[in-house]
Amino acid sequence: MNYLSSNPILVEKHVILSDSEADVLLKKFKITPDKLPKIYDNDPQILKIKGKPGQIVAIERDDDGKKYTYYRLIIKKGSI
Amino acid sequence: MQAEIIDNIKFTTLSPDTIKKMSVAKLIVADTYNEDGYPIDGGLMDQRLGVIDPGLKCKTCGGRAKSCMGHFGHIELVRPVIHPEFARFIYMLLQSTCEKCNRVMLSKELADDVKLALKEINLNADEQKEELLFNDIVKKLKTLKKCPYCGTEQHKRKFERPTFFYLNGETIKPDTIRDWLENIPDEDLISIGIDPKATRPEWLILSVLLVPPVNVRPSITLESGERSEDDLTHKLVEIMRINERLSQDIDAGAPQIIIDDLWELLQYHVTTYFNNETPGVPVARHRSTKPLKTLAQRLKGKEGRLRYNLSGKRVNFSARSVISSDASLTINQVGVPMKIASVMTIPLYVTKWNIEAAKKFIMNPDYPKALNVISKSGIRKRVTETNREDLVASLEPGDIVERQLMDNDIVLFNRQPTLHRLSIMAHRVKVMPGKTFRIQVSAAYPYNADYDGDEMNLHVPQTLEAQAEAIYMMQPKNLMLSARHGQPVFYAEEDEIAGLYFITKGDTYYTKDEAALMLSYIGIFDLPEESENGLYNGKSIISMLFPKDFNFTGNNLKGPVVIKNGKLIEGILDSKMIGEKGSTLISKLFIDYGPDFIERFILNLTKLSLRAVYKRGLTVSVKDYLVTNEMINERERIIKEVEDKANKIIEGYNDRTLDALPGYTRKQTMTTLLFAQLSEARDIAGKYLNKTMNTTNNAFLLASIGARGSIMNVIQMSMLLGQQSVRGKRPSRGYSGRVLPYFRKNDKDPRAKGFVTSCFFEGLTPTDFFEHAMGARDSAATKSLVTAVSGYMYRRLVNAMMDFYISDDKSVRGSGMELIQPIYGGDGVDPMYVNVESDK
Repeated sequence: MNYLSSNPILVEKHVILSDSEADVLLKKFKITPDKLPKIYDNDPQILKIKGKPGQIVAIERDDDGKKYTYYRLIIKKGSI
Repeated sequence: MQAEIIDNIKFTTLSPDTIKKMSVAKLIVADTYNEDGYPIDGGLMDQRLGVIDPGLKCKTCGGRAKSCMGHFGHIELVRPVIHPEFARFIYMLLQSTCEKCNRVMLSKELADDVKLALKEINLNADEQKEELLFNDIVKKLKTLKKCPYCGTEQHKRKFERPTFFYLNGETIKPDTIRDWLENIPDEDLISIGIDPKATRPEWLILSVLLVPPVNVRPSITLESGERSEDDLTHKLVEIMRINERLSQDIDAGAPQIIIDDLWELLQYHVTTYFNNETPGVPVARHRSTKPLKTLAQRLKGKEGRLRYNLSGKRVNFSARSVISSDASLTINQVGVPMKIASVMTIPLYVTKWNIEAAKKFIMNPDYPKALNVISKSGIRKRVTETNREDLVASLEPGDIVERQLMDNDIVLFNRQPTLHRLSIMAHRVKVMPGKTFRIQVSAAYPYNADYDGDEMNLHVPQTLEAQAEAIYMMQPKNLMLSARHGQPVFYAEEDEIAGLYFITKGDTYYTKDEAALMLSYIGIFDLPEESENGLYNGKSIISMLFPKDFNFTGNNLKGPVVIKNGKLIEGILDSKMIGEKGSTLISKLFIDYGPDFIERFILNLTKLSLRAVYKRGLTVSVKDYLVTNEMINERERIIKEVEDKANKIIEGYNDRTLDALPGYTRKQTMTTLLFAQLSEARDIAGKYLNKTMNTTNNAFLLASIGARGSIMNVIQMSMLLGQQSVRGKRPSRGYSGRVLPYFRKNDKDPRAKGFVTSCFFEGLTPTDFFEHAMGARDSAATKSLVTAVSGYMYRRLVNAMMDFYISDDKSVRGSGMELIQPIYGGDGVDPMYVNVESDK
């Protein structure tokens, strides 16, 4: 069974940030990418959107009506 | 300042050469001091290893006892011994190398494969994979029958704890092992995960033993003038003694058996020197049978160097005593015994503005006096009768005067376990007679303290910065609202709630004298508005506590409460208004009038309410739980009602008209429904009591205003105990098919399965008694288990998250600025400031 082809309604939307968007984000929080929360490159959602290590994903969360965006840095599995 | 980032740390072993290079002295005498108490040259207390006696000079660096931090020495062992902590590792090496040519038994092709795999792993820095790879290799090597290089047939290696090795059933001694390990080529070692530059395997066999400096193992002089050596020194003396004997016996050409025995003894001493708790080794003991504390014991465990000395520290300027309560203190104060206040000091930093005050402290012979004066150059002098004048004369701005603790000084007060920030708060000192710390009754809640012997710690902040931080961030009056749910953490309890009920219930009137006296206790010397009958209503007396412009509407446990222009118009103040069940009134007053007002208010409320309850008197007696005929009839009716309903469910199960609930079998459905149905009996009884009982019954009164106890207590004492539960179900275990042998097997009757119909007042029937005991044991066991498990989980969570903070941009950051949450809680809302409408 290929779980990537299914459409899980419970998983938040993951979007890869463009380089310029990433710059804005890092400037806003005054940090370097390694200070962001991490996500493995073999995470099902990252495989689905074809994320590469070093890119930043925006995760659109909806916590009981409270909408906010979470950010994670894609890293290679095993590099930590 | 940006801290450097540590890339990696590499641990290696010391080679004999390194040890000799580190060492300043080769030790040859197995003794410490001579008869004159002078360190023996070449002994274990050799002065080249540093000095601990004052007056002597270190022969290596010339430093004195305080300035020389010691130097390492070494012992040359005549026969090598196994390093016990590396025994398993040595076994692994023996297994993976050939017994004849001593090469790692990887064939050429395999070795190339390993090299390739290693390259990739290094590229990805995958340590887990690296470990797995080496584990795999060693596992494979163990099973080889023949060396791929010299073709020698391999025999079985055996390892016996702690340090014995056998090849084909015959002992191999450490010197043979060392030769074997020495012979393994460097390039072979890499393929089993050893860096030969850092650690050559033969270094794991000790031929030179490093001796720590004397500062590491100081001897102590007892009062009798006797010297007592450190455990490590004892052990080292023994190692040297055996070493010496071994050397003599070898020179004298003693038989091999004797030499081997001594050699084994040497091995034993070295093993226990490293770790006196090595499995399979008898523990080395003092003459008093107390086990020796050797190297590993110094570091390991709760009392070890790491957890005891590095993670946990002792502090000065602290005190500890039993706590007791005092209703005349404010929540912001702490009562400190005179005994403690006169010993603890607070620094007074002398300036030209306070120099006169400082001089007064020095001159004062009694209580608020100065204990020490620290001059600008840092010299500390004790203030005595004789030097008082001199100290005053030489006092100048920049000096520090250490004076005794006085009223209104700021101190930190703490109760363990320190689970949250409210477990340490800053109080103002109130010096008192007695020996216990006193706190306001309501201040106990955030500390989770009671007065049955609890002890608490007190710390005196010594710098102005620390004092300022304590004042601004840690005073109880500023911490009224819980950061968890935004409700007050200081509120009235028990007697205070009862007292407030009596004052505010509406038909309580006080004479002019009584009213004036009550109000004078809280420093109010005006009288409230007189009522028509010429007396003073309790409601108007309590209204004196509110600001004139205070308006409030809310609900207590019974109905609405209205305060208009600082006057209590309607309703009583119960536990929902000012107690544990919400305390909405306190929360509103705090938000509207601030910390200083609330500090006063809680004090006045406590004093006034306690005064009122003392005045009226309140007691609970057996009479309050008396079972009347009426109650007996009602109980019979309730029991019949629920049992009839229960029997209907059983009937439905028996004639198959009862349908299963989703996800349950029919039998499960029946038990669930029965349990729910029978549990209702107590609720019905509660409703009946609520209807028939009134406030002339003190037990019922206390429960209904939330002062103490609950309706459930009254129900269980006067009506019935109700359905018992074991593991959330009706009791079902004990004997086969029944709870007690009194019942028939597979009896479904409510009373056979824990429906207890008697009450505490009348006494329990034997079967009821046992069924109740089952439920009681179950809940006691669950309770203790749940608190232990959840407490541990909470501690782990706090330890993991303790240095997170909310940054000024509302994001949550870790200690290194790393982003944990882009916005706190997803909405940036602090629960402390969320207005919780407890009625909703």
